[in-house]
Amino acid sequence: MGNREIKIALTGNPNVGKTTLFNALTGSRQHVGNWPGVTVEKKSGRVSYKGYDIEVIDLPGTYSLTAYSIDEIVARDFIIEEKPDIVIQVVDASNLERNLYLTTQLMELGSQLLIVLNMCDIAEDRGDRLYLDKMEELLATPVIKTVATQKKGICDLLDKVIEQKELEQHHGHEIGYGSEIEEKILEIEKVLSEDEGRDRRYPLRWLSIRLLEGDSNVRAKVAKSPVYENVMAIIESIDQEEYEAEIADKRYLAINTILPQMCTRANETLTKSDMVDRVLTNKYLGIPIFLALMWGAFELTFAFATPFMDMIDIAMSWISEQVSSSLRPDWLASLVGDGIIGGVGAVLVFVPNIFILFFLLSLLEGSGYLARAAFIMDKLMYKIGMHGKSFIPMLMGFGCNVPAIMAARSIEDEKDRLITILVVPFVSCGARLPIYILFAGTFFGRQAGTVIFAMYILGILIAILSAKLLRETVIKGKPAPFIMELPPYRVPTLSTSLIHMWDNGFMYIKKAGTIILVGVVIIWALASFPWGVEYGSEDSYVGILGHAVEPLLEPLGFDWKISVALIFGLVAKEIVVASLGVLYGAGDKSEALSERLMADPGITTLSSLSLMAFSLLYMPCVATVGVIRKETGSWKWTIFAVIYGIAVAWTMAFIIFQGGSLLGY
Amino acid sequence: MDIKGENVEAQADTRIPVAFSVVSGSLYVLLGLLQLLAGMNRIFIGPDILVPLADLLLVPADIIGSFVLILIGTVFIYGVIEMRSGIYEGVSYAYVGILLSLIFAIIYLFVSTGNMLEAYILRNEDFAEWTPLSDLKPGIYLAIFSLFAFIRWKDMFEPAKAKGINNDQRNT
Repeated sequence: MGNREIKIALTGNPNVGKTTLFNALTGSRQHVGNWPGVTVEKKSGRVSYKGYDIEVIDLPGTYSLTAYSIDEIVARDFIIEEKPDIVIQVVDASNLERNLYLTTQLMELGSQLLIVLNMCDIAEDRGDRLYLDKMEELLATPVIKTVATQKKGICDLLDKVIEQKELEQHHGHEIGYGSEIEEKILEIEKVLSEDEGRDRRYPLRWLSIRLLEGDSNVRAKVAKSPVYENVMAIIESIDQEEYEAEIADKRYLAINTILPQMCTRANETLTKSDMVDRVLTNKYLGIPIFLALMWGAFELTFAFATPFMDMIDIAMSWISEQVSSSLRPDWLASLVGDGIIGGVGAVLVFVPNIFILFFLLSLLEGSGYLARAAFIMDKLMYKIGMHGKSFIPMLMGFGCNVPAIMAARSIEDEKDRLITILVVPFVSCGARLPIYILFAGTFFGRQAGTVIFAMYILGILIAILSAKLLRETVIKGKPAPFIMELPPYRVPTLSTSLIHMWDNGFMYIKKAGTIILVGVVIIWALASFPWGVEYGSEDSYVGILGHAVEPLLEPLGFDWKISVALIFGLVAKEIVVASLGVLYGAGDKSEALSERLMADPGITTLSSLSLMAFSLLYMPCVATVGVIRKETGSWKWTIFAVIYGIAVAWTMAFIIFQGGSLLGY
Repeated sequence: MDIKGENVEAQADTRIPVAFSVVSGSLYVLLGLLQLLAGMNRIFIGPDILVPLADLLLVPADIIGSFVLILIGTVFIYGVIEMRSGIYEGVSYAYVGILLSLIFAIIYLFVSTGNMLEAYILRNEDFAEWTPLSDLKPGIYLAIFSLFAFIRWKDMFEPAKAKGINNDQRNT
């Protein structure tokens, strides 16, 4: 069956719908979003079609084969080094000129190329007309039309893939760069061909052009060649920047020559997307509108979910009562009732909020607004020493910090990327939400939505201020210029939003059944032992542990129970609420956790605010620390991130509690 | 891209969006200010002294909500200024103003639905006196005008095809 296998790679500019096509081809549910840089790692899936086993690789988006960022390097190296049978370039039909630049480079690479024209619906709605036959003829490459969001054209594409595989030949066109450059290309090709041991995966013409363009990655690959010195002698004899510009000009000249034959563009019209952009990116109104929309989202997350939370809470209390009264022996009743149901139940209560939050975040991503948010914040971000693109990982962090830190891979400049990685953990993720809802709901009543919104804004402010501090001290330098493509606005599909909501919401439920369950059993054990002590009392192990750290946290308004919850929250933030569920589990089972917290004289409105701020800012979770280590490749920066986070959290909570106390709150 | 000049002005009639934006924008700003006043009054003076008209117009003492109303009103007014200056694209502000007012009305309606569940299904003590009128506020009732405009004027927001800004004769 070896020859019945086909390996295809999906490549193309960022945000052209590669992952949507990948999902349509393989039936996967990879995360998609309407902004450039959603995919930062290559992903693989399979599809069986007409007796062929087709492996599909979804690559991160790239504008050219001159890779600048980590995700672009991943894409380029795969195409060159893994040599897939067919490279499918997904092209945004509504933006052909820019997309064809990569096509010219892929053709030079000698790839078995197949072009997929995606988003044809947007182009046609705008009034553009596309001539596929002419396009195939001019590019000497098969072209297939798809609308991946509606799964249109998928079978045609797979048929064409099989057809191309059976052809096993490729006759791509090459671009002529003018006599002077062509002469140099031939010179370098000749020198390179003298090296018999060269890596034959790289076409000589392609290598020569890349070297003339000053591609440092390609230069490093040739560096070990015995002919390297001779190649460099040629490169050093030219004005490399001028050659690079000239090569790009020639490519665009070729594109602009063939483009009018491939399509006719509608004249500029004022589309709805343009209208919305005009207002949402307005220099005066953009930021207030962004803040208002975020406030609306958190108001909805809290207020609409409240009755559903209450329903779960009532169910949990009932189950807990039943278990406590019917299970024997008493320790087992306590383990299940106070420990597991009290702890895990306290976390499950917030499932409705988590689902709503992820649904709203999905709408934000799918609509294309995320890229605008980065755009309107760029001026401010640049002033404080951050890259505008950093705002996207920060907003992604509202869901989970782990993918948000990984999303920083799309930032080209290493210093900008490092700063982004170090400050993203300050952005409030979904796991912190239960803490805010519990305490804001308990102590701030109808203003809870606004308090929660304030926590998210505080997280962003601290991230931005920290970036400025880092930029002026340990990571000195100026941020790179911000260039980002603004995708057209789209109405997010309900199915995509629901899938996104379910996938993330389910992950939360899964966590409740795994790591949080383990955590609450440990806390219950610590609260129950040594034998004979009152459950959850100061004499239990948990009480001893709490009292040991209490002096450090007392100035922030936290008693020993809160201190214990915060310690266990280092593993995962959801455990803070779960721990409180266990520690406040004793007593009347019909009472909700919020009522028990309200009845505790050790917790006041001010200390609850201080606790929310501390929970927001101190180390997010073990998984985030792991990804910081992976993405920075440095223990030094990882330890710095943890210590810095704890220090900032302590200081902020101290200011809130002590400042508030001084003001008489 | 600001389109100015005889052709566009002659083709694009902005009288209706201007009139709508003036009325809607003014209402949103005025009620927003009233809501802000009611919110400040509650904080600094107390809930016993009421702001005139606030009760009659169902204006809650909600400061953040007042900013939202003022913001929507400002978006409408900004569009009026542009359209009055001959910039046809000013109609974008009317369009986005309508969208924003509808988005926030939907948010408020969802919140109200949550409150209704608390009051009638869960019988929560905190919502014992809740009635549907308790959550009716300017952010909801002013959006009725926007909803009407959105439905009635939908074609107006695609002026390119209707008004001939798109001059590509091959496609028309």
